[in-house]
Amino acid sequence: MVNNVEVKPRMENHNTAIPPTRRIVDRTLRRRLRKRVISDPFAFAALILLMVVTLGAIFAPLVAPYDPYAVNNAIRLKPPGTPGYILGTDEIGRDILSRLLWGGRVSLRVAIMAVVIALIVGVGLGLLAGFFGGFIDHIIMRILDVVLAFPYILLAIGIATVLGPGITNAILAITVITIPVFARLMRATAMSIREQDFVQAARAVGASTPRILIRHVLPNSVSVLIVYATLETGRMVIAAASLSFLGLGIQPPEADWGAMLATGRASLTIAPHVATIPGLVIFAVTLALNLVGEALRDALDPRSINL
Amino acid sequence: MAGYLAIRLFSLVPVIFGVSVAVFLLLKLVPGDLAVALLGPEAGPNELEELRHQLGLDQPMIVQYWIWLQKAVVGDLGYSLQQRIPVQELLSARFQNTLILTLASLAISITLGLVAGVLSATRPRSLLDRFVMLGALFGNSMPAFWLGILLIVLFAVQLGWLPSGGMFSVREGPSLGGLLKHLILPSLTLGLISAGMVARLTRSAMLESLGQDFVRTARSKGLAEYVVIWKHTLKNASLPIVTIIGTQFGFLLGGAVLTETVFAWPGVGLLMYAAIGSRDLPVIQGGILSIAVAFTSVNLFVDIIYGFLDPRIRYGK
Repeated sequence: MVNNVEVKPRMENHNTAIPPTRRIVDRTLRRRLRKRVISDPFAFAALILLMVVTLGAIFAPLVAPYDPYAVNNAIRLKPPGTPGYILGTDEIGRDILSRLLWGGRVSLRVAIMAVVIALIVGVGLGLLAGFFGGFIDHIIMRILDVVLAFPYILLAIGIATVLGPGITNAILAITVITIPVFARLMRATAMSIREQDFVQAARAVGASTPRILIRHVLPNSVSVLIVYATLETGRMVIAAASLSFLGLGIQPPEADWGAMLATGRASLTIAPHVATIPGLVIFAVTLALNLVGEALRDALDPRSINL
Repeated sequence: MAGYLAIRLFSLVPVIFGVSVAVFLLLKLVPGDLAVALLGPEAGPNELEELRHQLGLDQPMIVQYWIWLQKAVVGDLGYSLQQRIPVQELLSARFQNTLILTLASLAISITLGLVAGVLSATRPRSLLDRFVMLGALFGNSMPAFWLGILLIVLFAVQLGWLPSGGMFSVREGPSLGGLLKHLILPSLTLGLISAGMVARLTRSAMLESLGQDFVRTARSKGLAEYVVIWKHTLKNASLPIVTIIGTQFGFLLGGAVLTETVFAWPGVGLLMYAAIGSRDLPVIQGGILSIAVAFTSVNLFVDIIYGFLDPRIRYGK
């Protein structure tokens, strides 16, 4: 899907010479993607993990061995490995594996929705700011500065407090903190493209501004946006879990990874697995998203390759 | 330098204005009547009306903002709904504890991150480099509250070496030794996570610096390698490193909210956690404001250090 995209150099100042080891022989994007994502054992394993977790979440009603909300006090706090309950049970006897599978539906949806909304809003704001400059740019950037003036989790706490509990509100709270990432990225790209010849040419043949933005400026940053969307999804999985952990956003008994971890804390001394297993899942999914995101970045942008 | 300082300070004005509006709105947008929350449901209409007038709730929004701002500037952040004492009193007792935790974490993060970053930059693609980069990726993907829980399970529950929470031992009372013992796990939690990001950035800044001509010059005039690396190159790579330390400070302040909750560390974060549970909005508002102010101050400080480190920034614009 990204094969026909022209590779954009990153916006940072690369004013120093690229060391010879970094110089990558020009390859087609397809080959680079294969090399960086599929042939790299770490990135490939991460991709598989993400697919398994996503499929598990989508098909949770079919694959989950038990009802995630079924309370059974006879089998409270069973350790992992108990026959029939591979990952054990929680403080009121609910099957942890089933809850993790169902929880993925909530946790992943919250993170992905937040990134998708932030992507749309951020790209819109960034295009406006970068392409038009001047007053519009000034206003948008000042608003983003305010968002960035808070440590991000704190702003999410504030917004979630105002909005109250619930999945939608959790999504909104963490959307706000990731919008600046996309807006700044898009603004930088739009500013650098604005003056280039092909944009001038499009303008000369009478293309309207929205058409130039959507047909010429946006496609030039698709690869960068894909990379950052992947990395931000990882950050949002943690942000959403943090909100649930603090008792904001998604509330128990809803099966959500962060909420599971928070309620599991009560039995930490007698049954540490109840809190640590959901945490492990959050960590593994975020790690996988980071690995895939970085592999994609290396594949799409050879100048940023980590030695 | 004075001109540079003035410009930096002036550029903060719109940001601080925006932050104050955002924090003010936080309390205003929440559904519910503050007067009812303070007096309880049994209060009569006259009582409520009087309190609303006292608190200025019958005034237009802009006037309310102005009154709130005047009070906030001198530290008056209203009363806690739960404890009926000024928010400012609650915060000032807790803020220094948050600062202790944040600074200890920052010390761990910088020491570990800087050394690891420099070492892996000098041996790119070595086993050490791969190990450091993998560790950094782990840190970047690790939820602070989960790492905290793991450390508690290992060092407090299983091994029993360190306390699982609090700031001082209840039996022994406040002492420096007790403080340090209680500080180890929470500061390690935050410090390790943040060290990963410092290491990555230090490494790439060092790699960029190492490719420059002055490094070759320094080596060819016979300087010892450790002088070339730790003095010349690190100094030239210091600008992005100072930036990341500034952003890490913010990350740590925010992360302190979660870590304090895990370790029952009596800071602003734990105060806010309790306030979230009881929907004590003035306390949440005060907590967010105090940390945002601290964060903004640190960023300003970083900007100023920039001007010292690199005169080009001072004279540029």
